[in-house]
Amino acid sequence: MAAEEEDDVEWVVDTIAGFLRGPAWSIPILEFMEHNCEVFDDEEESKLSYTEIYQEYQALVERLLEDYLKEVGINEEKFQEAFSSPLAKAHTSQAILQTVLAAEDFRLFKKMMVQKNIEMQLQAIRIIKERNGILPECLTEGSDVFSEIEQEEMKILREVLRKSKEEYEIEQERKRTEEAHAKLKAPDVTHNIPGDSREAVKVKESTEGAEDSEETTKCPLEGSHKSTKEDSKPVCPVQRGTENLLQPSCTKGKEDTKKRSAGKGSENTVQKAGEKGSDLSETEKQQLKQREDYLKKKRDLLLATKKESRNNVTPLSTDQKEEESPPKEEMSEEKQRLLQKRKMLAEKLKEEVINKR
Amino acid sequence: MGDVQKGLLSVIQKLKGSPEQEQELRIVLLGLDNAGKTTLLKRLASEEVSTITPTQGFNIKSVQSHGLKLNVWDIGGQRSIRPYWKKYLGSTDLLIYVIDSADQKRFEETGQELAELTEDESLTGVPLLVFANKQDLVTAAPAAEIAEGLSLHTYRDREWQIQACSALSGEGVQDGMNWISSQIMNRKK
Repeated sequence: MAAEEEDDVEWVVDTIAGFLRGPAWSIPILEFMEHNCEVFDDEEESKLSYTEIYQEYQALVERLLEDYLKEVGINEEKFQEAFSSPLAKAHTSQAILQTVLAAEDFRLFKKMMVQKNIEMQLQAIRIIKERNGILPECLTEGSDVFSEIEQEEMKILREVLRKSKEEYEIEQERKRTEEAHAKLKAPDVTHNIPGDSREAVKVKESTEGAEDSEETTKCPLEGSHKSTKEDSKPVCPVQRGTENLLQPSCTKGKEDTKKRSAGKGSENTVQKAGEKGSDLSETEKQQLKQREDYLKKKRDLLLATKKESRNNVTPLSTDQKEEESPPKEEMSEEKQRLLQKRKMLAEKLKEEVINKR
Repeated sequence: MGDVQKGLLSVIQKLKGSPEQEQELRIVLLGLDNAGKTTLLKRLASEEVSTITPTQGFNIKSVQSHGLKLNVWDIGGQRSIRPYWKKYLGSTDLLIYVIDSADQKRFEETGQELAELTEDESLTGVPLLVFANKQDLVTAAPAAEIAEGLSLHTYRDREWQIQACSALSGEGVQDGMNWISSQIMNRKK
């Protein structure tokens, strides 16, 4: 009889653990987090608004759990019994439980929301970068009004973007030579594995974006390169050389711009300190506002896309895929590998940024 | 806030990876603006107290004391924030009320706020520790005088204590904490 009871307990625990892993739980929770994480920052002091959001979250967790228990016919007694037993601890991991525990632990909740906010920001910025090639002025200028953390974040971001661009250019070069080889062979079209089609479309978009970026960024970067003093160093003569040689000069230019904007930033700070006015100037305010609006817009867009992609869980059929990605330029394995690599790099850096906090 | 569901969550909370059933307590730290709540909180957590700015929201810190884990909530005391206090009173185990002993002009105001607080349902029977803070200032009123001004002796339905202290220097703070843990221990029996 004892064994029977244990079986029962085990069943209850496993059922609930399964529920917590499934979409009926994770989708509403994730949606909630994405919609509400915007106000959460990494300051030690919490805002009063966090409490309201926290209470909403508690209500959501309670409702989801309660509804589920009702649905599968586990009454509260059984639930209590099951989750008070040592079995519960053995059969569930902290990772699964985190979203539940957050409903009873404000600080865990805050940490989760702050993380989500950073993730969303990084994603938004990556999308901006992929679409436009460069970050809009309102995101790069005015670094003097950034807090230290934001500056650190931007530094890391720039590094990620620079790295991925470098890699892309190298790959691009390799691809060109390979394409030349490939032309000799029959046009071997590499099809994507079905089910992965959504990814493929995304991948395509982003590479196209990156291509654009190559075009658009080159000129201003070179321009700024010329305008800096470092020109006197014997770096430039190779600039008009082969593609390969262009690449380091490109990154160099970027570094220069960075330095320049940093210098400008400190100039502004000095100026500001001179005025002794802690208030931002009108233009700075405007820039900030602009930046904020831009990010908000991007965030909304991201939310919409995310929601959409979740709604149509079924992968696109192969026909659709073919329609959406005209065969003007098929995805080569090389490209996919490169993208995989870039993604991993971004993932790693993101983790570093977030875990450091 | 159905009690039944609260039960669900508290059951799950037991699965938290914390050390064996360590007792956690919720303490709310209130008082007028500039009373020294955040300074006291940081003092309790053995943190730097020299750079503290007015709290616009709230702070939470965990403090270990006598084998207990005290989760202390310090909520901003500006007039505009005070209406939010009551949102933080639920399931509070102990209330700490901080008073700027040198701010005689606002003794009446702080007394009113405290009286209002103690009438709140969620604080019924909850022990009250009043810190008569800023004793390092020469103009500070002695704790006994403040106790009288607050009519603490008329509180019959709860344990209370007034403790003179200086959150800035740390003097008297430990005595207050000792009273807190004695309260908790008594309640457990």
